[in-house]
Amino acid sequence: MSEVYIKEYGKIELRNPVFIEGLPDVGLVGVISSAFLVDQLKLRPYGHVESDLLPPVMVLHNAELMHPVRLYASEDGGFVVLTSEIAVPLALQMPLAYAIVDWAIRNRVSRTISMNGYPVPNRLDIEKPAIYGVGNSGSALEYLKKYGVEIIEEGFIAGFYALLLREAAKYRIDGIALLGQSFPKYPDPGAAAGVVSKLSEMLGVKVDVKPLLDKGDEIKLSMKDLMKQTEESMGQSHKALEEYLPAMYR
Amino acid sequence: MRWSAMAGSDYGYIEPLVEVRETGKEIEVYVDLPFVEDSRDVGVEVLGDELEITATMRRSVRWERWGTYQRFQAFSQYRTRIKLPAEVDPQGAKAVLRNGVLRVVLPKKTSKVRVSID
Repeated sequence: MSEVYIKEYGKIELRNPVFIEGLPDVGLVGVISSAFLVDQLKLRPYGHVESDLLPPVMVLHNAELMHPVRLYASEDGGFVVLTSEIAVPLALQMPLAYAIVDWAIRNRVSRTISMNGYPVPNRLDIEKPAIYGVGNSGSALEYLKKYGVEIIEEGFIAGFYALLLREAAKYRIDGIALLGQSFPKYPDPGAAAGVVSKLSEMLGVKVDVKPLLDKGDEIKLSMKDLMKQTEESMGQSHKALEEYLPAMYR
Repeated sequence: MRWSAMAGSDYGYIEPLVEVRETGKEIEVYVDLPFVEDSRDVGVEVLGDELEITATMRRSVRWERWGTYQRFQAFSQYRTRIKLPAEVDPQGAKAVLRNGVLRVVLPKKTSKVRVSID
């Protein structure tokens, strides 16, 4: 077994799928969004991530033993969602990005979409969080523009989605990240609702985000511990760089 | 772990998520308080170099755990004590509760003395 391995259950035939990444990061926007998509769209278990670099943790849901980092797919094989119930250790992030891109090549993934938070200090004063985009190629940026996503043109991006964008670009797989303005250190269902709305438009599927907003308090409280774990992990991944401007000028 | 909201219970405290930011003149403390809607349910006290926050949820929340020892735990209150990174002037403190997030702004104590140059 390689260091990181995606174990597929082989029940769903993929058709040039879109790969959607929703791992824990700023505001847990990715995790909230991916868990919501799995539930609302009744996505089916597709596989899980296996690695010696993962902590010795399994999850129980209704007495069913589950791996903490899992993949789900739509019935028609049109998209695959990656979600996690634990913070992804920093040591796992690079090999996981390699493993996903390797898997993406084999499965002819058409594009990768990361769902994430964009930390803003004045989030408390923002009623409807804006959605920003990052792309890893000219065509990826065009795709964002087509859907009216404001593109971030200058700055640092850090964390798993930055690695995924980079690795996908090496193999000419278009990758984008949808970033919702979010609280830096609290779970932010409002930011997730904005990201899910934009993603559903891109996927051409109907998703009602009202339950996400209505259950905001419940979601925030249930994700409190994961937020703490994630914050510790983010502290090691140069996440603070996202608040700085790069030194290079043109 | 599963949890569910429960009306009318009062079992214990939960520690909220807290973020402390420091600017030149102020310390800003943000406290995430899901299920807290009314500012009258929130207590903010400055105790020397610490800030104590207490809050009551509009309903209790119950965590259900598997296992022998702890079948469930329910919470209806938040409580936390936050160590402040600098001395503050408590008289100038301001707080606001919005969408379940409490913001407390505390001005730093200034002890700036102008030194004359010969």
